[in-house]
Amino acid sequence: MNINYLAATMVLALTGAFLPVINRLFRISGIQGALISSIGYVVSLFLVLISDKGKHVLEVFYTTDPVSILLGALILIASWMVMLVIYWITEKDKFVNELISALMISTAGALLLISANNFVSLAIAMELMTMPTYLMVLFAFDDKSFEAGVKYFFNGALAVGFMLFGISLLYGMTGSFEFSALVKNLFIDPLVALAAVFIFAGFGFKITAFPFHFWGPDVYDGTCPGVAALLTGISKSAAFIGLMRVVYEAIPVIAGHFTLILAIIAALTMTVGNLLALAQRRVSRILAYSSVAHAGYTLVAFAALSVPLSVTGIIYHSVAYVFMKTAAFLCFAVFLFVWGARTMDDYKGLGRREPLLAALFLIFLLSLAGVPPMAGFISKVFVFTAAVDAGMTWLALVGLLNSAFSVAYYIWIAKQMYLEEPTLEKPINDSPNKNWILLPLAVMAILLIVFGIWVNPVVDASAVYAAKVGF
Amino acid sequence: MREVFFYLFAFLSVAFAVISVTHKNVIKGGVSLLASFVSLGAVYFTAGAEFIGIVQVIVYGGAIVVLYLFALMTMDLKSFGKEPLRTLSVAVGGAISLILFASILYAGYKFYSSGITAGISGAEEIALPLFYRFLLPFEVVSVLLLVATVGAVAVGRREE
Repeated sequence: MNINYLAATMVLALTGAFLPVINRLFRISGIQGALISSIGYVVSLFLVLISDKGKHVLEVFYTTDPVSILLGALILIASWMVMLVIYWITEKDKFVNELISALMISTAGALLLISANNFVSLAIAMELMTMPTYLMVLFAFDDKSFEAGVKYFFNGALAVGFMLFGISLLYGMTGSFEFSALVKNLFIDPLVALAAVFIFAGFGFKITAFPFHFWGPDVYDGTCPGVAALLTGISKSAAFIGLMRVVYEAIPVIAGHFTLILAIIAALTMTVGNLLALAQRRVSRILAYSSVAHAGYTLVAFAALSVPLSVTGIIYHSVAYVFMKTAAFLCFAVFLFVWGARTMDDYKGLGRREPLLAALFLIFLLSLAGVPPMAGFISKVFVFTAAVDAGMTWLALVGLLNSAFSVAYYIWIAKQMYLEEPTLEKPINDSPNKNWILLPLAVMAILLIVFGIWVNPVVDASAVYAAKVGF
Repeated sequence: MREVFFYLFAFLSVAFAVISVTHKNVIKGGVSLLASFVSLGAVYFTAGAEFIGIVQVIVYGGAIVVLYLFALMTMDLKSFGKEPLRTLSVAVGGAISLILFASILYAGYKFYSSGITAGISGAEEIALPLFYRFLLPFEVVSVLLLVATVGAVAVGRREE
């Protein structure tokens, strides 16, 4: 692990840890808190960006390569924007600093997860990413968030239990925590194969893949939407990269055997997510089920793992996803806070009430649907091309069909916003400095468009990674 | 020197255990149980098993005795003294202790005769991987525990 990258994680975690302390000592206001944590984010972002220089230490546990630098920087930016929006929305709450503290430490966990290099560091980084979110999901302290928090806690505990059981089985059988130990012994010992199933099930919970997707929408819908933005966007993107590092160590052995099962899981996840999203009336549930569908798109790239383009597909989709899903939930959060808009009927005419915010929301929805020039389009191009290259044209067709399906509900939200008469008369929380909140969202929209046109950074990073795993 | 301490702490441990069973005052019994556990930990130390000694003190001396004392606090201690001794309870308890005592004697005899390999379960075998090989994950876990503490405080104080 590069020394600068390590320092970036430490700066982020320490800023997060000291924020509640500073608040207890000096009673900081929301703006001061946002400033302090922004300093933490900027320093951390700078350190991540320069982490291709400098010494490397403890390379066994965490590795710093172009993928972790790229994704780390983007996760930091997304998490920074989430922080600003959460401060703006929950400024009055007495415990907002604890919430931001949890957000920053969870982001530090995500930074570690995308660079994890063996199973010990993977499990611990994943726990560091997940543990603060248990607190965050509970944060609103009403009945719905209690239900969501309990569901999330039990599913999360189950997932990490599965994963740790698999890892300990692997260690018991092979005496090693390396990712490659899993592959070398996969077909020698049936218990190692069982360990692989458990580890994959643990990941399945985190990325809401098909048989393990049921908890996701309930939790994303029940908690406050700012937290859902972190859970769906940042945590899931980091988990995709963690899964990529586990799976791609295994290419030469498993490529032939596992493509079909991955393809079936991918197709089911996409279809289930999109069909259930079509049936929803509440915007937060639509976004939640579309997040399940997007896990399916990424799994398409995993299924195509025999061709190098699949690496680009996975990384590109994670890059696009970390912005578009996070930002879509943040837009929903702002609409919910200002107008109290939850259902499709509430969204009628909001385009006239909030022209700028609705335009930004439209950009994120179109990116989720896969419309050029946003990053969501180019990532889908890479994913489906990889599937065709790997000889799975049927999977690419299923994916395209699903994309077409998904356009229906994204456009439906847009139609409600722009073509209908307004139903909500006046805002429930009208704040004079409302336009400030457009700034973080606009940053994310700009980055989404930049990454939709300028493909080089992601393609270069994935080429380096593909060369490293031996394509 | 080691033998002297071994027998001293072994004697102390048994003596405090006897006090904890026979004393009329339950709180004093609980405290002498704690003393018994700690001296048992010292016995492990003198026998060269430092790690088990530490775990004995932390788990039994720390957690379990505190749990006992908490449970005792919720009870009405005054009524304990008036409670008559029931013959049946004493007989069943005595029989169970006798069986346990006999099996421990038997196991100790068997184990003593089978020879012991020294040098495992020391503190060094635990400390080297934990603080040297797996240092970074260990440090990350400390942040994890910090988050858990902050979370518990935030959730607990929210009720007010």
